[in-house]
This record gives sequence, structure tokens and C-alpha cells, in this order.
Amino acid sequence: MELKLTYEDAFNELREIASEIEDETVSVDVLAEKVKRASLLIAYCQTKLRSTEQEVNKIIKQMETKTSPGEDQNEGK
Amino acid sequence: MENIQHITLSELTHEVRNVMRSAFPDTYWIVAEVSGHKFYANNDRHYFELIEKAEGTNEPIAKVNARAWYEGSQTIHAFEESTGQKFTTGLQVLIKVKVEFHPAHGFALILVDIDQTFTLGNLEKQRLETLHRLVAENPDAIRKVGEEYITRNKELELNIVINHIAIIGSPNSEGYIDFTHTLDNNQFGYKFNIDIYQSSVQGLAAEKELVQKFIDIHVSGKQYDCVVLIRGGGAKTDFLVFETYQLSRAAARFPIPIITGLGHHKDVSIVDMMVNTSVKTPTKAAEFIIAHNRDFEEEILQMQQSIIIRSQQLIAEYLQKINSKQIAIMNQARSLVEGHKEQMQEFKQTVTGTTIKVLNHHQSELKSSISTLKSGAKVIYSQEKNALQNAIANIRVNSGKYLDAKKNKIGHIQSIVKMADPINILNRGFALVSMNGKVITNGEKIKKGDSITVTLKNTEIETEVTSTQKKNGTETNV
Repeated sequence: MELKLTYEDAFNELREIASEIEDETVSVDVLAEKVKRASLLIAYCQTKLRSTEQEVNKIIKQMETKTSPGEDQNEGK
Repeated sequence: MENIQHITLSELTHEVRNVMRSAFPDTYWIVAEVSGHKFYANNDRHYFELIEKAEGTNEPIAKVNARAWYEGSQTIHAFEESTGQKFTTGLQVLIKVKVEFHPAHGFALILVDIDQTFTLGNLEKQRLETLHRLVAENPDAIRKVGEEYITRNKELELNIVINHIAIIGSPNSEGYIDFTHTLDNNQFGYKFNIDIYQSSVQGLAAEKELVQKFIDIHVSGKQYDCVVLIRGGGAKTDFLVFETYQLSRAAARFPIPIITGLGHHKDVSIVDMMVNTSVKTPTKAAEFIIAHNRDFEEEILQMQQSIIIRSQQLIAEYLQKINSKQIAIMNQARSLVEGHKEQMQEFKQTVTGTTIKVLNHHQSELKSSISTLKSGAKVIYSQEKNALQNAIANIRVNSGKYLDAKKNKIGHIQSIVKMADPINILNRGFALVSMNGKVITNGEKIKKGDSITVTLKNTEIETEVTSTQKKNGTETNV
């Protein structure tokens, strides 16, 4: 997930996904991917709404370290 | 100096008071602006000045101390209650005053009554003037459309979610507490980042301070989602500062959306008219922000819902399509197989039919060949048979003849042989001479002294040769 995703960005992307799915312009092959992305965006927004900026930054950092475990180990030692 | 006639100060001030009393025995309605107002609640007294400025300037052309004691204080209280406007500095008033000269405290006007209509009318006039000036002097940021004022701040779109909030107000005020309490305890658990820009919000002196806070927020460079301007929560109202030109102008031009909750119920201040969003109270401002964020969340949840439903529909439709394709393929395949089957059947029939025909043909050919062969053979057979029979017959005939011929020959030979038989010869008188068991046909071999046997018809004579003579043999010819 992009760093510092704004609500606006997330919302626009969500709306795009929703309309794509609504208009059936999305193929079944990428449907799962799109739905997954949408749920990620929604979860991100909801978390961000309920967290202070600091907490959000912490979460983002966790997300980053999760996606790159190699760097995490290096940093940890 | 002691010779000079004099009176005491108090004698003079008393004299002045007497003169003043006789010169100004009545009360007077005057128009003036309140200035330097102070209220002492413990003894319920107002101390202030009344000033009159030259038209269009700030220069006072008259300035007098004024007081309101118990009676006047009651009047002021009633005025504030019914108009919602605080009696305070900056207020243009039509008041009834009594001229007083106190020997100890000097000259002052004592407030006796206030004309509410004038004050309100005057406020309205001032307000219209301020509004007019705002539009006239800020054509780039403020314009009037119908009864509404469209400002730069009002035209700003609120961010989709409000999170960073700059509050201008007093952190100890009820309004601030109401606002933060409502925000912090929102039922959805939303969190906010709040910076407080502390400022007094009462009295005309607050104008400069408030404008400064807007400047501070702007230069902070922080990306606030909105600026919340809140004030008090009490019943007392004093929003003259929110009617001032500079503050209204700053609010109208401000590049971050402003939300006001100024805690007044009766009227809308000019600042309220200039800002992006105006609500009645700080609590309502907080509720507005929460609802704004909730709208966002509901919208994304709505999208989530529709994405889920639509996805499921899409998948169902897709499966349906696959299914119908499958059925179509199956049917197609089945009918193809059927078609081939029929064709095969036809082929089979054709092949069998043709084969039978060919076989029949061959059979009949064979039959005819056989019959041809048969008849041919018969013919040959009968021919051969005939030939054979002929041959046999011939053989029979010929062999008979042959045998007869041979018989004849044999008979002849037999007769010859019979004639030649020695017996017969002997019968006819001839004898057979033999020597040593052998028939002698040639007499030359017989020598004198040989013992020879002479055989006659019924007698055999043993003799000895006494002589031999040669002969030609012709004497025996017949």
C-alpha cells in the first residue's frame, strides 16, 4: 500500500473500482484483485479515521516491514 | 497671599453642581458610542465613556465619562436580555441621560434608559455598511448573490475527511470544552488531530488578536482540514467583534475552510456569513465534523456493499454464462455425434447394400461362370465320353478284328507248328536222330563208331554208325 495515501486518493480509487465493477468493465480475471484492493482501501480509511496520525504512521511502518522482512531483520540488528 | 479672597475647592465644586443642576434639570436623549466599558458585577455598576466621532473618522469630537448605577444597570440588563446584544464598547446607543456633576468625582452622564429600537437599528445599519464595504473592497473574494454572500472561503470544498483541525478560541471556555468533549466522545471512535490557537473572543480588542491567529495558522504551513472558530456557550452575547470588517475580511479570504460555532442563537454574525460552514454552537460544530466524516465512511461502506453485491452478481452471471456455454457445447456435441451416427448409419447401410449388391453381382457372375463351366464341362465330358465310347467301340471292333487276324495267324502258325511237330513228322515216317540226348540236324557231326539214337513213331533204336556218306539233302524235297 502506498505511503501517505490520502482519503481523497483512497476514495477516488474506491469509486473507480466500484464503478468499474458496476459497469462490468472489470473482467472476472481481475475481479478478485480489485475486490481485495477495495477492501484494503476501506480498511485503511477506517483505521485512519480511528487513529491519530502517529498511530497511522506506526501502522504504515508495520505494513512496510511486513512487506519487506529482509530489511526488517537488518534494521532490527 | 493670605489677603487674597478665596473659597475652598469643595465650595467651588458644590457651586458648580448647583449651577449645573439648575441649568440641566431634565434628562436628555443622546446618541453616542460606548467606549472603555467596564462592568462591576459585585456592585452592579457600569463605568464607561460616551464618545462622538467626526463623520467618517475615528477622531472623537466629544468624549464624556458615563455611569450606570442600580437603575441604569437594570435597564442595561433588560436591554441585553431582549436584544441579545451586550452593552459594551463599540455599541452605538440612543440613551437617556442625566447630567451630573459630583463635587468629588466630577462631570459624568448617568444612564437612565436605553432605546432598544435605535440601538438595534443602528447595529443593523453598521452591519449593512460593513457588508457593503466587504463586497466593495474585496471584489476578488466576496460577492453578493441574492441575499447570500459568496466568499472565497465558502467556495472551498471541505476535505473528504476532516482530521487536522485548528481551533481558534479560549481553551478554558465552555465552548472549547463542549467542542473537544463532543469530538473525543464520538460514537464512531474517530480520532482527530487538534491544534489550539488561543485567543480571546470577547470585546472589540479581540478583532486584532483573532486576525493574528488566522495569520499564524496560515504561516504554520500545516495542512489543516479546517479551522474551527468557537466561542463561549453562555447566554450572554457579544458578537460585535464578529461583525468587524477586518475579521470578516480575513475569514472571507482565508484559504482553509472555516467552521464557526459562535454560540449565538438569535442572529448570524457577518463572520458567520463569510465562512465555509456556520453552525450555532461549538457542540454543533463538532457534530458537523463527525457527521462529515461519517458521511465519508458510510459512502465507502456503501461502495463496499455494492462492490460485494455486484461482484457476486458478476460471478453468478459469469457462472451462468459458462453454464449455458457448457450446455450449448454439450448439445452441440450431442447433435454432432447424432449427426455422425446417422451418417455412419447411412454409410453402413450404403456399404452393406453396396457390398451385398457387389457380392450378389459376383455371386451371380460366379454362378453364371459355374454354369458356363458346368455346361462346358458337360459338353467336353460328353464329347470326350463319345470319343471314348467311339474309341472303345473302335477298340472293340478293331481288337476283334486284330484278334481274329492274330487267331488266324496263330491258327496258321499252329497248323504250321502242328505240321512241324516231330510226332507228326515221325507219323509221316521220318526218324529223329540224336546223340548224347541232343537232336542232330547236321549229319556231318556224326562219325563212324558214334552211338546214335534213332527215334521212330513208336520205337527207339540204339545203333552204331558203320559208315557215313555225304549227300546234298535234295532227295527229301517234296
